[in-house]
Amino acid sequence: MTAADAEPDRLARDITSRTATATILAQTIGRAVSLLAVIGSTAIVARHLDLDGYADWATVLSIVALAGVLLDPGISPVVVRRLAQDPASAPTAASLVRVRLALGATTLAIVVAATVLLRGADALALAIVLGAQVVPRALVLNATPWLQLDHRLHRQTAWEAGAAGLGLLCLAAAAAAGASAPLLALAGFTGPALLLTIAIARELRVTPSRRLDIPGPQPERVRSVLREVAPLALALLLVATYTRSFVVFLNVDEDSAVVAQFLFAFQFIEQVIVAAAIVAGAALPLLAIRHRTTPLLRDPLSHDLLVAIAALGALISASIVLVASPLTRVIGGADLAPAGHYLTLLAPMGAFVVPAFVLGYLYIAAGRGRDYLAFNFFALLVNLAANAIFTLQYGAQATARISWATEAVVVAIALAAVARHSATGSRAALHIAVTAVIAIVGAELAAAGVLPPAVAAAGIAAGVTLSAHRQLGWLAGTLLGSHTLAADARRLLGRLSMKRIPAPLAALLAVAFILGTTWATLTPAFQAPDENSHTAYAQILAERFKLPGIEGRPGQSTEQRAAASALNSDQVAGVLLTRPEWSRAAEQRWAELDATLGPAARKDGGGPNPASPNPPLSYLADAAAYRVAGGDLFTRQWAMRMTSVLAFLLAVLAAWLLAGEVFARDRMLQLAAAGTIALQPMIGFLAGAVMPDPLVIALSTLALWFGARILKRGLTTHDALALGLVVGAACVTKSASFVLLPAALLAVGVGAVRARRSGAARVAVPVLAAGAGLVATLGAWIVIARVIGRAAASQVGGTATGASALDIRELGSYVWQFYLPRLSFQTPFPRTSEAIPVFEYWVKGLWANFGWLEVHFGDPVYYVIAGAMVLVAGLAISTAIRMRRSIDWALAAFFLLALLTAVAGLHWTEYRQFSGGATSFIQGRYLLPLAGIGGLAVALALRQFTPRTRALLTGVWLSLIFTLTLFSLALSWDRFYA
Amino acid sequence: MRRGAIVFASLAALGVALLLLVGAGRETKLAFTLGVFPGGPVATLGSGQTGCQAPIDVPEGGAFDAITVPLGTYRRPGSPVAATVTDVTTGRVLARGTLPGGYPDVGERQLERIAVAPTVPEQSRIIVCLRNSGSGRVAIYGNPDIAAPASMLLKDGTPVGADAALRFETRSRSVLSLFGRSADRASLFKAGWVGPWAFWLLAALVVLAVPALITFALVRAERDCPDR
Repeated sequence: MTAADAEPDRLARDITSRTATATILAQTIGRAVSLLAVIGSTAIVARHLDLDGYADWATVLSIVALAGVLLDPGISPVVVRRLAQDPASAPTAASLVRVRLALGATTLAIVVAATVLLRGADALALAIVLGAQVVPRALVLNATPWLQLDHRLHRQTAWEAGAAGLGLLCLAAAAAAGASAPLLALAGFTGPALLLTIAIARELRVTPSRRLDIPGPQPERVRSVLREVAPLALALLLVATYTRSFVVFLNVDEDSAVVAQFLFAFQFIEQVIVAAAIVAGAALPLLAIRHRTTPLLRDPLSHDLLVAIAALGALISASIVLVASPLTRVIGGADLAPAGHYLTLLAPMGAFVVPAFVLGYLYIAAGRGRDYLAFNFFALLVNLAANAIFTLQYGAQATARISWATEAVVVAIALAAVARHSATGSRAALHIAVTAVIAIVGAELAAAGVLPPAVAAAGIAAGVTLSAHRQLGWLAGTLLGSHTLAADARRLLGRLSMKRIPAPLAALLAVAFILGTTWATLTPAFQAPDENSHTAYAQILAERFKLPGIEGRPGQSTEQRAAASALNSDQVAGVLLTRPEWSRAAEQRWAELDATLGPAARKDGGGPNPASPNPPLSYLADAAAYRVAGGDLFTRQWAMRMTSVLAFLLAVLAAWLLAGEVFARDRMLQLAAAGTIALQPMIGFLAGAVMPDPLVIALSTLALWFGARILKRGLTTHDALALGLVVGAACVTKSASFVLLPAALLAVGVGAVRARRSGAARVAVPVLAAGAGLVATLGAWIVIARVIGRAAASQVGGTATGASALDIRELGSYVWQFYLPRLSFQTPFPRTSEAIPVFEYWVKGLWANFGWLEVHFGDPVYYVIAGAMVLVAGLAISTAIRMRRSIDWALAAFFLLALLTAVAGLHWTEYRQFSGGATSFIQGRYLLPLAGIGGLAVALALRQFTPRTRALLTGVWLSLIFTLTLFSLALSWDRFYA
Repeated sequence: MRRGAIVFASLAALGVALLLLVGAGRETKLAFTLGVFPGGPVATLGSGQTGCQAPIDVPEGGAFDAITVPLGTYRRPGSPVAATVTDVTTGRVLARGTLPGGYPDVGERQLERIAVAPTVPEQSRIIVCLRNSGSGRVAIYGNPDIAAPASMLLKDGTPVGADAALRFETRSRSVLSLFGRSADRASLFKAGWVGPWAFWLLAALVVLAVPALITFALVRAERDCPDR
């Protein structure tokens, strides 16, 4: 028996529901990543182009999607069938390249011609460049049959996700550089598609089913495939045509704004179609195998599958109803926000398109492809007639309903045949009809404003679950059966998957959420250091997708200035004698004024302010919350503060993981370390404010964790990549995070040295991964900053402005005066406080200094805190000395380097500021990114005690900082409201 | 229950009790402020001249019977100052008071307190006038006009483009007894969903749920880390 002869047996053995589940799961994850990239690129393009330009762009993409069916008009399923059943009749991949190229070129010609016809000759260049992506994509599709046969299609999806991510970065850079639409298309789509072909060619070379390739004359096999494909190709063409024929009618009937909005909404439906194709594609080989023994149209199992799939589709509809409005508003901006209404109207597509795909493949697997072709032809006629009658009369709202109604026609006809064959078939048809009706009614009620979207979505979900709970349960049972979905997920996600959250950690996260939310709600607007500037940054990003610092514009918008004035925040900042406004009448006056402020009042900020030189990462999260929240500025600001609360939770989680890594998952020590972060009042206060600090604290603690993992477990690609990503992300959050780089370099360097005996590849790949992580985050930001003419790290560079040359003696004097009382012969540095700086900043400012730093306890409280810090440090050092023989010195050096670099960086920056004639720079909170090391110090201090004493002392320690937090909240309450 | 958890719960309860004690013992006279930072002198009143700040909304719970204001005396014993509080709508004088002469300059004492009677009711709209009834000069401290945008300082009827740094006081009350009133104040200029109830809820969560969660965490951590 030859290898090729044995292959069908191998397939029957290896290609199972388990591998189908795995590939669906992996493809879904890959598609989710691609979807994020699509969302990002849509957001960039929608904001970069005007409505006319976006209408051109969306039209080209829609025609690409419409004509894209030509790229693989059923070739892949036919080749899959031949490879599985009769490898000798299947052509080789190489023999199909010419066919693929011809299809790609034909598709490109159609895209260009149709675009020019619909949008005019001005769109020609864009159509060529953006449409050209179909040629490399045709080559990518040439690998699909072999990857699909091996249930390895998720590898293709992963590469596509990577290409989409790369495209997003390039697109952002191009947009930031003010590139034209064709250049955007080249950078974001066509260029990455070319790179994708190279990666997929490699995948094709190594996939196991290539052993099925049988050499010999190929032309006849290719012709045979094309003959078999013809009816299926026609059916797919019909489907593509009726799915997207509205592009023509809309362009004829509606103006550019409506066209842009509808096509924008339909982009989300395209993702649903992709998901449906993934599910159906994975089911096809299984259906084909089952049809050998069981007629599919009469098969109760297939009927249950159809009902479950239809129910899943209806649940997708519910999700669309729920998120349509905020999603379109956040991604599309104000101009495309009306698309939310169209997307809600399109929501029933989920209930129809998912079962339609599976039904189509079921008919193909059952050998009744010609019937399917007839159904689609009929649907096309219905679609064209309906669009001609209703879209041209009633516009885009009719188009949305025609879109799902056409799918409903196909499903109904296909189900009619199923229902005729058996009682289970007719029950399945009834179930599917009920779920579809529930989805339609829910979406229509939400679109009409009769029900809030959340209520409508919940109603759809509840109705569908009730109607099809048995089939959904069966599907879940099948997927989770002997191998469990969770096990597949763990295998696929590797170590990224999380086991059950330990109870102490869950409790700490709940504590952090309560405290963060309390601070976010209690602190008056703009009463955290520079919160007015941070808010202004996020607002201009949310409103205009611009970075602040634009000369000639005010630092804050009209709306923010009015809100601050109404609240009296500027007079309150830093002044204990004053209070924020306490009058309900004043709040009412603000509400009346706010109602008169138009959208322009939110968009006219963006000028220079203290926060404007910062990198944008945390503000992007703030801006997203801002867009989702809506309401007046105070509501939007609270939502932005809650992103800081989420970062706070991440910091607590990272501290728990870090302590677990260092102390071998000793739960008590983990609790002591992470509890210190969760209850530390200054971190809680910052977590209740709009500012980048909480995210920096979280990312820095994560970086320490990944560094510790590398040093404890050895250098792996995913840890190195994660370290690069989080360090880079921290630098894109706040420039001061550059101080993490030396420690990260040390971790990777030591890891590489330790791994060198495993071979060059074992070292090179992780090191490259760490670099790739940095490049993908920090590198991307540096490129974007260069392109748009900003300093990528202005805080670092800016400190030297006006500074004199380095004077070692002066630097020594500065450091001395920071930590020790000034000697009589030393020249004082211009500080705002008389207190010795180490106490003012590393004790007072580190633990409890709220508002604009004017809110603090009396000095005796800080003496106690300083005493506790010294005690903890002393105990930690004593433990380290006791354990000196077992300590991993590389790990200790890693933490020490992180600590010293951060402290030295702050001193150097402040010293240079003093040299340049500026005032003091250091704030206590600047040390908080090292909070993870602080938590470790607490845990190390406790470690020398017996477990019983350790538990007792942990209780004492946590109660002390809990009490400090309690009094800190009361102190702020007293300052602002009593 | 394990030792660490017991110790924590006991000490946390002590902390909460201490907070309540401090809250009950700490008193405040503040009724409300105009919210103006005393940045510098904004109007100098010669003998017989009057400075009036108008209009001022007395907020809910803001009934007061004393006015505090930073006054400059040019390093001489301060001139006596007469204060009148008038209802904007009716023109009726609601309260009067006098600051006797001889008080120190603002550099020595930040605020001067002028008791007025009878008590000015909450939710009224008022004008506060300070008349230099002595022979020396008196400087009223405040900040430019944007400080309190709905109100302005007038010297003998002419706007001076500034606001006086006025604070209003009432009888002494404990901070703890003011919690409900403070919750009303804290709910202003907040997210749309926030009402006074939110602060009652958050206070309960911080005082009860947080220690309970930490206690639970300690119990579970001790269970997962048996004596070794």
